[in-house]
Amino acid sequence: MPFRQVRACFGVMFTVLTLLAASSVSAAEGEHDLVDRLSNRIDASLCDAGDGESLRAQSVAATSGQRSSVVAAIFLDCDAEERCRLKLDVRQPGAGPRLFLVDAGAVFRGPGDADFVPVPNQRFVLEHQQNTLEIDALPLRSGRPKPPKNSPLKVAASNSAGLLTVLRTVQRIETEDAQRLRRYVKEAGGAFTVDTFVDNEDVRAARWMLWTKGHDGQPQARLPLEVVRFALYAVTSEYTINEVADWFRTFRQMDMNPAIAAAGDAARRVEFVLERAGLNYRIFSPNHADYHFNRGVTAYQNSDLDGATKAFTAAIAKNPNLVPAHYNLGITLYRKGKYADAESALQIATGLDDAGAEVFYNRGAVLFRQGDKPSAARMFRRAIELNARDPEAGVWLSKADPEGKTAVKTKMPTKKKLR
Amino acid sequence: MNMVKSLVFVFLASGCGGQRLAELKPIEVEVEVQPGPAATPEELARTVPPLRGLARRLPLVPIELVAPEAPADPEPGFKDP
Repeated sequence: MPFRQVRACFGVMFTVLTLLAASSVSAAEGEHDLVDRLSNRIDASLCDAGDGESLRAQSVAATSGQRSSVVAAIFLDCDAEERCRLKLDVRQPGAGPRLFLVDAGAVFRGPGDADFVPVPNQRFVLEHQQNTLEIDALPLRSGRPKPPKNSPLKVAASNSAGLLTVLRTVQRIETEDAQRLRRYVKEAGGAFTVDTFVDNEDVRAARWMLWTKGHDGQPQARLPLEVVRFALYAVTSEYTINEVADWFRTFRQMDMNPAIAAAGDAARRVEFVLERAGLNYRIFSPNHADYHFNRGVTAYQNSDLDGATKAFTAAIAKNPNLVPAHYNLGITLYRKGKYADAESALQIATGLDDAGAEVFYNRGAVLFRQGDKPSAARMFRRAIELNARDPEAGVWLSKADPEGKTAVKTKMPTKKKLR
Repeated sequence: MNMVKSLVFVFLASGCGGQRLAELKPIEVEVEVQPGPAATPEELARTVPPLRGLARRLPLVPIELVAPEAPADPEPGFKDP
């Protein structure tokens, strides 16, 4: 190919790349020129420095074309079920219209550490230069005192990967997933219902959503607010199904049994969101081993050894391969003085694939106590194989087997004489 | 010269935009206090090996979790006036 043609090809290539680069500078990927996201449109006057741990400084809205800015935020109220409302003053340079999207990331801070998280995916059309919006919000943590009505709010940015992940997952479920789930939804008498004989994960999710007609006439999906709430509290307040049941008793004045039933129903939906978010949803309800395992740890820390034994046993029943459950059961039984049972639990643990050095060490400790020093030595030796820097295993190996009788003898290869 | 400018532009642009993962502060792991039952007198006297502590609670949020990118903006449903 002549040099002139080669030069022309490269010229075209670089021009195309330049145009692509230019377009990415003017609008970040996924951003629409007519859509403003709450999390990056906060005026400097509202930005809070955060506490440096859970909340960091909110970045100031950069001036950018016709984009709007939130210039004031006020706490309005919370109802009896902690559904809260905030009022925002939003200003834009032009006359609009622009779409204002409530997304994830901003945390509104009131006096007395009252923090609020806006419910994601709320949309407003800004038609004037000055706009007043009332947005739905949830307390960042349940049960905290609320500020007085009309308290001014500042805005910080969440520093919690878990919180951001949950809220962005809610956004995705209500937008991207909903586009896929629409196929199962039919309109009848002005209402939308899931109308299908199919039973799969998508259909179950579609049945949990609240369907309304969007501005384009298509079904639009929202997750029930209590699902968003409990997924949020799972991350911010360590909620499990137990705390959800307490919430129903406190905020909906339910009796114990109806509250437990409501919590069980909510748990399925909350676990759906947590699983989609890539979090360990198995700690949330008693359907899973991890939940019982965590209950056992709490019981042990409260010196409730019978409760811990029961919980770790329940965890093992749900997942017999959960090494930490066998391990912790062994420790609990040891503390109860049941050394033979402790050794049995730790024996099972050492037989599982994920058993680490500490499992072998503890089994060695129990065997040593029982007087079986050769077996203890073999366990300490295995612990050292798994962790050469184990601080105690070497010490106790030398005490259990001072003459090295349990060491595995490897035959040195004999040298062949060359003829 | 124009080609050089274009190259520089491309290299600059490739570093801009999008959420920078480094902005998120790493979640610090708290050392868990495990009061629970005390060690036995034999463990304290070191006549038997002291038992290793309990395995910790399983967390909801993995320690190494990085939040995903925000989803794309919806279509506004109206055009630029």
